[in-house]
Amino acid sequence: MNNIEKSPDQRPLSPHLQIYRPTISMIMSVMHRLTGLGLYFGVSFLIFWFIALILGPESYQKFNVILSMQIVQIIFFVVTWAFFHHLFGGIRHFIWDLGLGFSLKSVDFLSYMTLVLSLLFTILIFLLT
Amino acid sequence: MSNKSIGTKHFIAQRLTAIVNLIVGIPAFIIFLKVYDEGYIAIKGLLSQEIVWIPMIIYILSLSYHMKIGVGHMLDDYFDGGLKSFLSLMNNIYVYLVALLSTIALIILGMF
Repeated sequence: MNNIEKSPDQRPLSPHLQIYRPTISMIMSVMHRLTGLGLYFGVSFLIFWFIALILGPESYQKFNVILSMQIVQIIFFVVTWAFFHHLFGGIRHFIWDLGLGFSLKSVDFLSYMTLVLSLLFTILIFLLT
Repeated sequence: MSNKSIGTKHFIAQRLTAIVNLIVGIPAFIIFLKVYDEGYIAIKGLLSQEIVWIPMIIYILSLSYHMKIGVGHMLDDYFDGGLKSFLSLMNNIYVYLVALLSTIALIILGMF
């Protein structure tokens, strides 16, 4: 934490999260980062999927066996939820970028909507597919 | 990312890529969920259409850049010194690998 004194070019680190009293908007902000990080690694799945497709029907069949495993289905559910959480969190940021929704009530409302809509869309998608 | 003028560039780029991700990402995600248990031939047929694989490449590139900035700023916030430099390098390598491999794969799937 002394890096401000060391050199003005180095930026200070974020203070530890646990010194703040948690609020819904803060939790959703942390979730936006965590879901972003989850999706960051989740994207590598696409590459395996592409490679399986390029290698032909047989390797794709083997890949599908892995996909239908229960644990993979659970990971899929979590990644889908992360996708929608990050998506709605992003839309929330766009609303703020337009200069709207800054009252405490609106901030709380938008935060809860991020949570509710992301869960709703995830469950809907899993029921429909 | 200690360069002071880069913040505004990242701010704008993160939002522009977010818009692209929204516009292309939602249909891409729905298509993926629809076809993913429809079998090899259906998926291959879909990905060989220009209207699918070209937007997919744009999506992957936009996504990669969004990932690079996002994780780069997380590293800025929570790490410093040598560890930050190392993780930033890993971030760059990972993002470029994702972008490059996906683009090559989509071109192969689309054209051959």
